[in-house]
Amino acid sequence: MNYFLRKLGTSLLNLIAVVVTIFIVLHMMPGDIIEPMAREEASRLGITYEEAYERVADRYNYNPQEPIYQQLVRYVKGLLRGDLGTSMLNPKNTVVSILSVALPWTIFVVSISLIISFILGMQLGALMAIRKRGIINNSITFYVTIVSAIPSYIIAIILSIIFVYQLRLFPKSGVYSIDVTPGFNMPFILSVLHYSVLPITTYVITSTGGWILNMKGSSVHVLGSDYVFAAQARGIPEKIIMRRYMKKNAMIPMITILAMAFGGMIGGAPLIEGQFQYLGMGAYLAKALGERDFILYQGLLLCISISVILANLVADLLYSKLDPRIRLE
Amino acid sequence: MTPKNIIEVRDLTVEFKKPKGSLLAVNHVDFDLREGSVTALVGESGSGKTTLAFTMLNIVNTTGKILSGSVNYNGTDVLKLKGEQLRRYRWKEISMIFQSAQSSLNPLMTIQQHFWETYLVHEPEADEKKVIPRFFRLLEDVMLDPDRVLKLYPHELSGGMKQRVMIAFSMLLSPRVIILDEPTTALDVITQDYIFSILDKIHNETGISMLLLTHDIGVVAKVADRIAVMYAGRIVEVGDIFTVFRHTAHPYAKALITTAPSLLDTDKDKEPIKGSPPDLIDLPPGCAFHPRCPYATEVCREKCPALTMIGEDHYVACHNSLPGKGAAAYE
Amino acid sequence: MTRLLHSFKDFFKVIFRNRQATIGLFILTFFVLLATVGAAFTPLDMTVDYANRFQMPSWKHPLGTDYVGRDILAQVIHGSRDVITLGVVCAVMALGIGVIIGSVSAFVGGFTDTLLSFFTNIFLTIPAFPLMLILAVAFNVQNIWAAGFILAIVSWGGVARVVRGQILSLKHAEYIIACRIMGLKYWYIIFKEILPNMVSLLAVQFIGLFQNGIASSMGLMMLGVLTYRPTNWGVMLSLALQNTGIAYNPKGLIYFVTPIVCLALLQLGCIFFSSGIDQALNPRLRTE
Repeated sequence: MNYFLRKLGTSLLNLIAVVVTIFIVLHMMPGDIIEPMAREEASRLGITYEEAYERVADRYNYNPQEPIYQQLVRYVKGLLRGDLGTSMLNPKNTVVSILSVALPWTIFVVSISLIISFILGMQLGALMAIRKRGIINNSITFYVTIVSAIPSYIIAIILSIIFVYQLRLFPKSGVYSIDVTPGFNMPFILSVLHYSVLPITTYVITSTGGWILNMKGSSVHVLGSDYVFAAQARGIPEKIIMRRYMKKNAMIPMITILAMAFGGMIGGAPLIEGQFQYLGMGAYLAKALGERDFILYQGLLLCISISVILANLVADLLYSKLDPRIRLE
Repeated sequence: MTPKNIIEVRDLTVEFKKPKGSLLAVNHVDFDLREGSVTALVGESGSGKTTLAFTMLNIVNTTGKILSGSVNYNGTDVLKLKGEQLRRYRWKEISMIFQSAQSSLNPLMTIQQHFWETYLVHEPEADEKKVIPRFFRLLEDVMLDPDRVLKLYPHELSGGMKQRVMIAFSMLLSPRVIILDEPTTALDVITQDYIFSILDKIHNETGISMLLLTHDIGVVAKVADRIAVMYAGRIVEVGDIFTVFRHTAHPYAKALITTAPSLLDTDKDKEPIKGSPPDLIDLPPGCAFHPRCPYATEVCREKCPALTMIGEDHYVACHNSLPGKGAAAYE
Repeated sequence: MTRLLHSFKDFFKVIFRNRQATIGLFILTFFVLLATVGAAFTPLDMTVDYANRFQMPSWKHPLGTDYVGRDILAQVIHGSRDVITLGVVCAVMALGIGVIIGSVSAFVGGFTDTLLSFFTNIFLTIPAFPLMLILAVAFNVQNIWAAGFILAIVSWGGVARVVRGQILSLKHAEYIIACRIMGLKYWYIIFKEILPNMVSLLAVQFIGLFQNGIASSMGLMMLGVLTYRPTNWGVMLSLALQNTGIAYNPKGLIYFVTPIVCLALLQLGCIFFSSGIDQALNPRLRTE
């Protein structure tokens, strides 16, 4: 409980810091983005410029003419109400409504990819640690080397050229077919899976290599430890030693990397989701950036930062669940 | 009654490959472990005593290779055991308490899980409920509260408790031999004494054979009834504890025994062993001890002495057994 | 000086003994030569020549021409200069920030340490790539220094953390404590004992930053936010995707594939070389 509270406190502090940092970074931008919109609105509705400016600023919950601390107060107040402003291009869409549409898809794709690549990495990494040489080992090493030399977005481009444009096996954009009705029905689920295959494949291809290397290193370390040697002396069968001694112990440090990997994947989403036009957070980020929709961008960036903080918290809790040495503190 | 050997090591040589070259951690060693005895195997770190002990469980580090020899346990050559047979032999016949006892438990398993796991892999038919009383008795024998200890994880035990758990653990399958590798190195003096009184009690009650690896002569005098001294991968002197202490014949053994701290001794004849421990990769020719030996002669530089009997149950490997030659050790 | 020369010789001896490291060094040398000598001797003509667009490789154009008839090889060679310079600028800046923050944090300790570690943590939490995107747009990056700075701003966190950890563990290492008991000066300890122990760590970090900087900068260019140089491989790639209709047009394949192959090769060189550096400079791995 103590451990949990401490971790929760750290996360909260981190959250506040991230909110402020993002706010400051975005408000250092030169130029007044409200001004042209206020002018347009003033002439359209026939009201004074000042009044229009006020209205626009209220709509986006952002007034660059106020001193920065006042802007921050306004922003935080909005946050606490759950108000992140609206999209600058389409004021009917609040940022929160866009988030609620986009976030689930990104979380879905990233977590499925994370689970698959984690499991694959753990198995292959452990395998490499047990068998020091051989064809399997060499081919895994080759794969890891090649994949670490090619950035994920290039793999996304190549996959999309081959499977979307040449072979036409997968759709060009979207998260599910317009022919299905969302809900718990087979056609919908199949459609969702169909649309997510390429983004997931890209993530899995690029992130498995890191897991393999990490797990291999950790496993080799555990294999050299006294308790593995002692277990052999007790006549424990190799199979049990590999599973209960090596793998379990080697996986514990991997848990801390989970959150980092999650952050890395979600950070790479603009390029990968953008390439497949998969309408999650990443695709919206790329879109907001292209259209210079800063209010939306700020909301999206904040949202993915929060999910990274949450992922960290989850990883910490998982860690304490799995390692009895942590529980005591 | 003629003493029976439970373990007979014959002409054993173990090689380790190192980046700089290969070394013989155990060099043509013959060694007997008497049934029911407590034998101390004494030597500096690097003398090969741990490697020799490991071969008795046929468990040698991946870099080590057994070049020759045999280890007979009750008529079977342990070094020829493989796979399932070897697995069943370990711990059931011979168990071991490692020097690294503090870290020889899986940090993710409770003591009970350890005990039960090891029991189950040797007795696949066992029923956990029926063997728990046995776990209780073993832990009570080492003065621990089983109710509490069985539920704990290794990191929750103190050093002395861990060592006692390891002793109970080593008795789990009632083996006939137990090897103790520096069992008290990491512990304070009072805990050390306590551990040895427990071991003594176990030995008296079960008559189990014990092989005690140590560099501490004081400990040897307290608990052992036989002693073997190792130097640079070879056994240089072996025999009954009283005989060896009274008529120490090998200069190295003599130095070890006389330099041991004692309350009764005066300091005047204590002389530390000169020179530094041998470089095992580049051993001097002849007797490995000759560069440090005050009695070294021409023959020591050329020929390695063989282990020869110089008295009843007393063997030594030296060209110039102390203080004179051969049986002269007995004056 | 002779000692330096000697350790230099030792360094290459270890590198050449390691096959991977040798390959890595070879690849990196190749690209550096391409960026310096190659770029100096290859004329770059960016004028549009529609008549000769999408040409196959020939003596005149060893890698053919792009979608408006410009020589691809010349672009790649000049691009390598941009790519490598940007990578180095980014790595130097990030390493600088990271080392300063990490070492101040470790040496001063106390509240400063808590504060700086917290600060570092924030930058490790906010996903780097999206932050980089918005910074690039916000500051309207037009030159290599600004680009390098933005790449550095998001990537120094890891360095700071590693440097801090390393110094802390060295600080409490027995031989350093021994130095302090012997009454050696603080700065003497830092320069004579601690820094040499960190050389390999910093070298490996440098290569990693260089490698990541290049990959991320190409990603930024793909999204069209760093477009100050048309020959940069990332810009080439993004132009290839937008203007050649690569998905259906096999003629544009060379223009599309060339920057990818160059990037992958350069990254591979970094990976191989950094494993070699680790072995050459890390006293613990240098067994002989």
